[in-house]
Amino acid sequence: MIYSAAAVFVVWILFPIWYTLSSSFTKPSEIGARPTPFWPASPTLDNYRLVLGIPTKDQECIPGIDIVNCGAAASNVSVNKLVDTMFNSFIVGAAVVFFTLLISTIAAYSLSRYRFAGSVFFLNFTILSRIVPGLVLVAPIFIFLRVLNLLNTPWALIISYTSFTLPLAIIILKNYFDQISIDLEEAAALDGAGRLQTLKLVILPVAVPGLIATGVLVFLESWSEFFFALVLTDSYTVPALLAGFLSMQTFNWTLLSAATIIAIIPPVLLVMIFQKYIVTALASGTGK
Amino acid sequence: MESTENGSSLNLNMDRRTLLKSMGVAGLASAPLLNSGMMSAAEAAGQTINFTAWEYQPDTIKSLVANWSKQTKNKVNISFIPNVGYTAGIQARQRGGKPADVFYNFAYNSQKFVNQKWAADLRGLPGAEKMVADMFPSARSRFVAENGAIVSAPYFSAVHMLQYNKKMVAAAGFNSTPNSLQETYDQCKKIKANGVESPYVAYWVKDFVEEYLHVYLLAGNVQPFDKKGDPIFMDDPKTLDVLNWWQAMYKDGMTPKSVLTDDPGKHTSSMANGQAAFYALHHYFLRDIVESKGPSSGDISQAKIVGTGGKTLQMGEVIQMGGKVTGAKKAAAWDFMKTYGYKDKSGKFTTFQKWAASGALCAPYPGFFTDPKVIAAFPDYMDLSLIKDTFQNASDIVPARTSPWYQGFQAQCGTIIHDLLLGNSNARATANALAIACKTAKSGSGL
Repeated sequence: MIYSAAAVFVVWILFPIWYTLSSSFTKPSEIGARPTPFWPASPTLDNYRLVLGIPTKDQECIPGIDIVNCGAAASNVSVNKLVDTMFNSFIVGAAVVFFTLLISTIAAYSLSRYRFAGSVFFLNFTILSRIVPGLVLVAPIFIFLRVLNLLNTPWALIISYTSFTLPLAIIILKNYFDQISIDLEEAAALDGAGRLQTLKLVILPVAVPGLIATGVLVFLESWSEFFFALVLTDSYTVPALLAGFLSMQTFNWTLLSAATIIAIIPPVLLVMIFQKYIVTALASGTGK
Repeated sequence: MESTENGSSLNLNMDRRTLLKSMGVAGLASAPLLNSGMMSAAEAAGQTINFTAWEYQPDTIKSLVANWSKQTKNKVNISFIPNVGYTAGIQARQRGGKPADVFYNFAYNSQKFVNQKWAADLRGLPGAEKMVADMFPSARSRFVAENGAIVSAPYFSAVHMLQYNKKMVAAAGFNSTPNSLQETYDQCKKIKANGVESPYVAYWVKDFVEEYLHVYLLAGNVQPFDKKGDPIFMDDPKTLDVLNWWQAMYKDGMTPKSVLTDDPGKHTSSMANGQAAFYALHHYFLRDIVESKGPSSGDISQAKIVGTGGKTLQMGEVIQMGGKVTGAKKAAAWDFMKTYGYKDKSGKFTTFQKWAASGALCAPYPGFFTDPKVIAAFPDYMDLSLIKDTFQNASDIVPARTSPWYQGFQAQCGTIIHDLLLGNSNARATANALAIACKTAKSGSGL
C-alpha cells in the first residue's frame, strides 16, 4: 500500500518533467501527435539549438521561429537571450542570497537568544508577513523603486526579493539556532568573546548546514519568481523570458520546453550538491 | 456607461451608427488640415517616447521604432512585457506612476483605460478623425467609444476563417466548404466516417472560447447584443440551435476530447499532418499550417466561416496613448501612433506592410488591401481578396466587446461554455447563465 502510494507520488512529480523533456526533443510538427508518444519518434536537438542561437541542422521550417528555414524576416519570440537571462537570474539570486543571509542571520540569532520587548510580536509578524500576496505589495514597491530610479535594474529585483525572502530565512535560521546548545556560547564568553565574536567564530561554523539550506531555498525562490520580474523589469530574468514564448495565440511549446530544461539545470544542480544540508536543516528540531 | 474626460455629453443622444458615419464625413472634410498636424509633429523632434509592447516579434518592433526615430529625430524607449501577464504588468506600471506614453493594449481594455484616464481620447489630434474614416465601417466602433471618444489606433486586425483540407472535403463528396453550422457537422461526420478521427479543431480553451461564442452566434444569424450593449442573444431561439450544435460537435467526437485544452500549435500540427479537416481561427494561422510543411500542408486552403448569418467575428488589438502625455511629447507620441497604427508621413502603410510580411497580420483599412507592397507581402496561398471581402462585407466586431464591463463577462464565459460542452449543462441553461454573466458584469459586480 505504502509502495503504491509512493509510486503514485513519484509519477505525479515526474510526469511534468518527463513531458517537458520529451517535448523539448520533439519537432514542432509532431507536438500534436495523438496519442502522445512516450518519446518522440525522431528526436531532434533543434529546439535547443534555436533557443541557444545555434543554426539548426534540420531543414524543417518552424513557423514564426526559425527565420532562416522559413525565409521569414523576424522571429515571433526572443531567441538567443536565454543564456544572458540565466546569467542575470544567477547574479540576482546570488545577491539576494547574500543580503538575505546577512540580515536574517543576525535577526534569527537575536530572536533565538534574546528576549527583548516586542520579540514575540516581531517573530509572529515575520511569519504573518509571508501570508500577504505579492500582488498587493507590487504597487508600493514599484513606487519606492521608481522614486529611487531603480526600475529595470538588477537592484529592483534584489531589493524586492530580499524583502520577501527575509521572513522565510529568519524562520528557518531561528529554528536552527534554537537547536544549537547555549553551552558553546557560554564557553566562548568565559574565554572573553563578545556577542558578535561568538556569533562569527562559534555559532556560524556550527550553523553552516542551516545557512546553506536557507541560501538554497532563497536562491530557488529568487530564480523562479515571475510577477515582480514582469512588473519591475523588462524580462530581465528567466521566468519572464520563458513567458515570452507564449505569445498572441502562438504557443511555441517545443522551444519553451527546451528553454525550461536548460533553465532548471542550475537550480537542480544546486539542490543535488547541497541536498544533505537541506534535509538536515529542514529536519532540525523534529526530534525535540 | 461611465462618461469620459472630454465632451461626454456631445453625442449621448446620437445613434452610434450615425455618429460613426458622421465621423467618416468629418474625417474626409478635415483631410486638408493634416498638413498643419504634420507641422506640429515636426516641431516635436527631440522628444523621448516610452513605448510598451508585448513580446510578439520583438525584432520587428525594434526595426519599426528605429525607422520612425531616424525619420523624426525622436527617441523611443521600448519596454517589452510578455503577452502572458501583460494586462497585470501594464496596469501595475500605471498605478505605480510610470505609465507608458504609447502602449499596446487588448481591445477589451481600451475604453476602460480611457475612462480611468490611463489612456488619452485621441479626438482632435491631427488626422485622428481621418484615420477612423479610412477604416472599414465594420471596424470603426472598436476604436470609437459610444460617446464619440477615439480611444485607440489599430495594432493589427484579423478575421476568423475556416482553414480546411481540400482533399478530405472532396473525398467526402462535398463540392464546397460548409455553408452553415449544420453543414459543418454533416461534413465532419462524413469525414470522420472516412477515417479522420477528429475532423474539426478550434482553440476552445477557457480563456479564448468567448471569441468562438460570437463566431458561432454570428454564423447562426444571432445578434448577440443590442445597440446599447445589452445582451439579447438569450431571447433568440436560434441561440439554442447554435449552442446545441456546439455541444454536439464535442460530444459526438467531431473534435478531439483534448480540444478544451489544446493550443493553436497542436491544431496547426494536426492540420499539417492530415489529422483534422477543419480549423476555425484567425486568418493568419493558414500561414503556420502551410509553412510547417507537413504531409498535408499543401492541401490546406481557406474559406469564410459562412452561416445563415453571413458574418464572422472580426478581432484585433490596439495601441493607445498614455493619459498624461501633453505638449510637444503628445505631438510626437501621436505622430508615432499614426505611423504605427495608420500611415507614415508619405501616406504609406509602412508598419502594416511589415506586419503583413512577417506575420500575415492585417489592418482594418480598405487601402491596406490594395497596397502593392501588402499584396506582394502576402504569400500566394492566402487569398487576400477573400480576406478583404470578409473584413468589408462578412464580419462584425461586436462593439460590446470593447465596453469597459466586458472583461467581467469574458472571464466567466469559459467556465459556462465548457460546462455545456462537457454535458454538465444544456443549451437553455447555458444561454441563461451567459445572460446573467453579462448582466452581472454590466452592473459592476462579479469578477
